[in-house]
Amino acid sequence: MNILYIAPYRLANDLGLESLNLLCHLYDSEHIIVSRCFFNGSATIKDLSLLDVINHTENSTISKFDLLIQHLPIQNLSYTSKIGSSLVWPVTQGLIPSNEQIDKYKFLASKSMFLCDNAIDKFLLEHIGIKKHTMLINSISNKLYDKPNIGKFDIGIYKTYNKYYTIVNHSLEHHIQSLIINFIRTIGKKQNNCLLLFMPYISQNILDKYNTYIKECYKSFDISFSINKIIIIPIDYNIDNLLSAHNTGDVYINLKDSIQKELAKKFNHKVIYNKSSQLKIVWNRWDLQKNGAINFYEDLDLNNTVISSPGTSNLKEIINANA
Amino acid sequence: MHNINTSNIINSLIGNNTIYYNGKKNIFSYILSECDLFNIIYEPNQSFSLMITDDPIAYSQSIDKISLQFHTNTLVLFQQSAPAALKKEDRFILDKKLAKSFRVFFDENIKKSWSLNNPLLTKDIKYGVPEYSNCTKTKNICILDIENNDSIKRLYQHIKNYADCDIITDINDDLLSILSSYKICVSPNNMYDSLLCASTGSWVFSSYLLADKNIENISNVIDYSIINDSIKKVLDDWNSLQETIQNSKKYILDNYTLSNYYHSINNSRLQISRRAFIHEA
Repeated sequence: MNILYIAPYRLANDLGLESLNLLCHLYDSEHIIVSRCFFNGSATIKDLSLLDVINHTENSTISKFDLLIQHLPIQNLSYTSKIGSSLVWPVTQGLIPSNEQIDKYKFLASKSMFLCDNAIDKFLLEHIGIKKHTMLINSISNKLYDKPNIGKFDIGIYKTYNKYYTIVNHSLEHHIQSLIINFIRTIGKKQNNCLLLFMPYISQNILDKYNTYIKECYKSFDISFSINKIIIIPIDYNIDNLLSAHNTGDVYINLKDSIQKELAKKFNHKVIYNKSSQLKIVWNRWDLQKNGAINFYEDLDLNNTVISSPGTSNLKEIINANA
Repeated sequence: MHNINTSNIINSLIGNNTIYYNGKKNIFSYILSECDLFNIIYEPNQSFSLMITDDPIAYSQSIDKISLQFHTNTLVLFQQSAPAALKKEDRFILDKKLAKSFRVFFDENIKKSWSLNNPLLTKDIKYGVPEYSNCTKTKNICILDIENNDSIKRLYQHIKNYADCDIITDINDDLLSILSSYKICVSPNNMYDSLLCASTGSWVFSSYLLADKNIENISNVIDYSIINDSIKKVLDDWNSLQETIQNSKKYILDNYTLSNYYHSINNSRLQISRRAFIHEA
């Protein structure tokens, strides 16, 4: 089967990595893959250890396709009658779509199979009435994971601690602040627990802001400490750094469902999950998206760690079902 | 809901032959749009597989916005010499900005003036002109002002004070018939227009000369204040200039054929439009 895959797989963020991971699975399939990257102005991955996969799929000369796979925001999804089958894996960011966007979702749902890979997107598709959808298990491709030497960040005295960690974009301020408070008042009280916050592309100003916030939190809880147990580690977003971050931590805190959770599973780490039953639509008055967003409405239970083994990709079954 | 970027990606792979011409409407674009190997549109109101722009500097300044909007590769046409004010560092920035764009040069002098020497991205294409058989000269002088240029209007008044001169401001289906009826064409700012007029057997005055030395019926004008003297001389010597004019006309029609030109542009389209569009933020 000839497959055209359009996704932001060159972008240096979790969305890009999710797309790249699926591209690796497609590349390893028996099908002929042509890929085209969708750009949105974000930084692109510079250290392309997967350049062979990208170049191979971008340079194919195929011009007739049997299946179109799109991993794009709703406003960028397209429909063509010239390709027989279509899989749509929408990038929703948990935002409730406008009425116009809902109409587009419904139109595309009448022509395509929808995919989702997390509880929030599944909730959203069901909320807008799209019943025909499949949960994609985008398990980590060996091409991403199998590196000869995965390093560790030097965290000095904390290396003997029980290291709770997450990889989070600094813009998720509410989630990060909530986690800091949650950590200080619960597991942070124990002597040998620390929290590592790996933050891609963080400026000195934002780093200072979060460190000040951490100090204020300790103060407001009236906890005097001889050593701060919450450490922010700025990183460049690339595959080697992400693998090193996971290799450094012990318990992954899954703030927002992303491909990092799957990487943590590959390292056989315990994971702290949000509970999908706690989802609800929230209207944030600061949010420019007028229609609200889907979010977890209770704090994470940091004592509730789960060991879950990595899943097996179900991409082959999904493609066969659409053949 | 606008999703032209994704539509363009899909269409560029499945054989769409539409080109978005993001540039000035002039004789060059008119002749280009007459080709039936591809479909030229002037507004991005349908999906397309390639964009053409005729203004390298303006395009380079808005490249991020435009390329993200359309997600197609671009052919950048260099039809005029680099501005004298363009410094070495400006050329360096321009070259970096156009790192993913394909550059088309129609003339060696113009190519040298820009000094953008990336052979992997550079395409040398020869202009092509349509052949028009009835080139009977019934009028003396015309001046071309298709792009509505104030300085050309002033030049028209300057010539008209001394000689019978028409100004051509519109493009229509009779364009070749009209142009070929003049003995002298003044085309100050456009190399393609000069070549087209020269191919009809006219004597041409222009600020731009093709590097091709075999075309002898185009005079390079540096100082337009004395153009009336030059015009008078050509009209006085019209009969004795006929051998030069006819030889040049034949040379142009033999060497700047429309079919070769169309095929070169179309081959570039086929080669470039299918390449993956890469944007580096």
